[in-house]
Amino acid sequence: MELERITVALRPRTAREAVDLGAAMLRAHARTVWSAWFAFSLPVAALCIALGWLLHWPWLATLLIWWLLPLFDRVPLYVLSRAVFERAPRWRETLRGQRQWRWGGTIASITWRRIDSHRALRLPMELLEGLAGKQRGERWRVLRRPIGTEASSLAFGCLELVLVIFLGLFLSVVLFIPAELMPDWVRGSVGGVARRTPEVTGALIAGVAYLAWSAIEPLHVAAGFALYLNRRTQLEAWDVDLAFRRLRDRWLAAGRAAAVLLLALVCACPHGAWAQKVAAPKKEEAPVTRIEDAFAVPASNSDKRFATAAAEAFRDPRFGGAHKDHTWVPRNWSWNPKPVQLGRSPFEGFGNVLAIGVKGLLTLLLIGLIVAIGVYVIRRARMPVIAAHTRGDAKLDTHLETIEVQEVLPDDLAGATHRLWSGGHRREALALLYRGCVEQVAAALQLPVEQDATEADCLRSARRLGDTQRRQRAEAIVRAWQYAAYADRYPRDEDFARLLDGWPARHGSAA
Amino acid sequence: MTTESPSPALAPEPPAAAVSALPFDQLMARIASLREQVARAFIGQEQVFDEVLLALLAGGHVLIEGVPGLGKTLLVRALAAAVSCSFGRVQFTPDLMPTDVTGHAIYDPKAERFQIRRGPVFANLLLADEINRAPAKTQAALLECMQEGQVTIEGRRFPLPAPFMVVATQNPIEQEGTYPLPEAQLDRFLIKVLIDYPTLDDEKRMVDEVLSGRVAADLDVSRVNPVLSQPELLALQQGVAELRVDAAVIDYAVRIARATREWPGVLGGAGPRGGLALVRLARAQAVLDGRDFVTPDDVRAVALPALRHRLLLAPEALIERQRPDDVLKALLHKVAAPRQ
Repeated sequence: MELERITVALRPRTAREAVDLGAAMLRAHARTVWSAWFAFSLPVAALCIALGWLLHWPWLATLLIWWLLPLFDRVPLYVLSRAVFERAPRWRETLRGQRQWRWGGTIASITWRRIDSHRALRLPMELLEGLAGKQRGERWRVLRRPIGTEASSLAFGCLELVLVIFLGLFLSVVLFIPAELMPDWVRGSVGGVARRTPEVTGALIAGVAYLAWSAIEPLHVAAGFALYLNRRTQLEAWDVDLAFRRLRDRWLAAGRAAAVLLLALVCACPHGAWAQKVAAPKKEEAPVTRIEDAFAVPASNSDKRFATAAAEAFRDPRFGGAHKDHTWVPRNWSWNPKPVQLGRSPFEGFGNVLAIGVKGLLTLLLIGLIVAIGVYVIRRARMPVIAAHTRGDAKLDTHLETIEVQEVLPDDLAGATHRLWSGGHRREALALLYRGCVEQVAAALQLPVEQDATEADCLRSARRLGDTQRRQRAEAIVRAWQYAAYADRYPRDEDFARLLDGWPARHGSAA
Repeated sequence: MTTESPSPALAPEPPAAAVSALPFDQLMARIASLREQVARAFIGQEQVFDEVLLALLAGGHVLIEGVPGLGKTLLVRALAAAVSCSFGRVQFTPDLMPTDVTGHAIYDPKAERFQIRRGPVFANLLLADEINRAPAKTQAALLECMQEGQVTIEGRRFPLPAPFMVVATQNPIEQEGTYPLPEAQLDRFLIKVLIDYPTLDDEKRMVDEVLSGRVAADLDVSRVNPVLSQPELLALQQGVAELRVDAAVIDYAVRIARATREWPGVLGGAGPRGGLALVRLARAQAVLDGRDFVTPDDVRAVALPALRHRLLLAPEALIERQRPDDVLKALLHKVAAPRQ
């Protein structure tokens, strides 16, 4: 490791000073960091926004971008880790360099460790050291022990900064830009008609959120990297090592000067026989700084140096050898208290149990959340449009209490409608048919079903259908529903059967 | 004060007898002829006329807000001429007294007793011009008339002639020296109509028709022929009142009215009269659309004129230049329409 080539002043710092160092590193390499960041993350973010737009899930883009942040974090870390020892790589080199790094840690970060608040500290350890298995766990415990809280505070601080920027951008648009100067699509999104343009609103929110994360996430990574450097400086005495190296260099330089002086004195003496040309001393090759040496990342699979170094480090009692045990000792337990026997306290392991319990609970919550999202997505995929009234907070206090009102339309809507009609529940049958018609028209026009949409809205939408037959049938259904619901005039059985003619057997498929 | 109808001292009128409703087809025919006749004098502003017509059919009172010179008086006079009923007009001023509106007892030295002199309020159609120029006490004199259809003078109750409709106007731009209508009085108006400048075509047509062969540009309602008698108007109103309203529609109207009370930015929402007004006006709207039943669309169509004067916006909303119509549009977007 060529520590003398390091471009930052190494000394043990407090965690806050280390975070300042990270910010300074980021400022020094801002251009390369952000150019690489945008080159890597912008296409992915655009893809997420397009996906949310196409699937009509306005929230999906923001969620996906947030979810993929650990993936984006690789980019600033790559730039900064190289910039510390070498020159900062350009964005093309950065993108190419991603192939050298392992993906296991990143996959973990975007799956079961997505809500890890120590991500910025863990990232350099996983990507730069490349440890695996038990060694990685031991290494992580050593690294995290005194600065885990600071790493969490850093994560929450950055989260707050993101929120401030995100809200600030929105509020600056809403408060400071006159409405008449705003484009219609922006005004429509922020002006209370977001329900009519959910895709635009979702894309706008995702775009602004992406900008906020782009501003703060590199800072998060840089500060975490500086914490990591500082921790290694503390652990491995990099500053002392560096001081000795520089002392050695100075002594070597002084020794060379003394040797030259001695040689000059010797040469001043007349020794003709020695007047032959003395070969110039072989110049020592300039040390080549390699990032693999600094961070022990194997350059290739065949390079076993890291394995050896890691194994040695792992055997070192300083790694994981230090323990701090906390035990509860009751006050005034005895006038002659016996020496505290570690591990025999009645509260032994209470903190650990508590921590494991909380961790398990959070893990269960995360799993539950993922399962709920999965179920929701599957249900949405089965139904093109969710029934409007299930989204509405105001529910109709229906007077048809005897009939169970189906919240979600049945797959076989025609069959269900027919059964209701045959059972004498004519109003319920027509209501079901009308709701199916509303959703079918909305799906055909690729519009969301508005909860406030009335029969007139449905008729207006139906008139926009290109298919004449579908348009006429939709109009007939709406009219039949209107007369039944509000005038108590029901169609005859044959007219009702005609309304059902050609209705898709499965709800959601095109008629 | 200007009174255009004689107000002789008369004995109290007996209450109106039960009115039978007109058949629906006749009802539609009468409304069509009423439209036609009023349109002869009142050019353009179809929406304003429709909203006033809604109130007339629903048997409610109208508050019209608009700058002077847009034909408010002409509209009421044309309506009175088409309906063939008495018309009274009161120009509200700061020194107007309540008795100038309702009437008062006057001592007759010859008969040596007090006689009741009825005010201009004793008319079928009363135009209360610039109602916000009179102090609250005078405005309040209209409360009893509008709500109960009667006037109390010297302890005696005098029912107002049926049908009775107050059309009040107020100017939105000259607010200095005015007395904003109290909430209680605003609630008595079934509908608030906003009248704006006519469109270019309507204005050209109006200038052409008013000035053709005439020297003065005064109001001319002589071309309006009466097409409805008072009993027929009462039968018309009864026909509208008997229109079928499904429980789901009533539920929708009440939910809209209640939502105004919980909406952010609204200090005071519509009271129970708001829901009543919505249903009454929705019935009239259904008739205007040629239907003998009421749909949620009718409720939504009348929600703005029926509720805009019943909302008291919070100062924050006023600072943001929000209007009651903006709030109501957003609110309507939130209230789920009946589908079951």
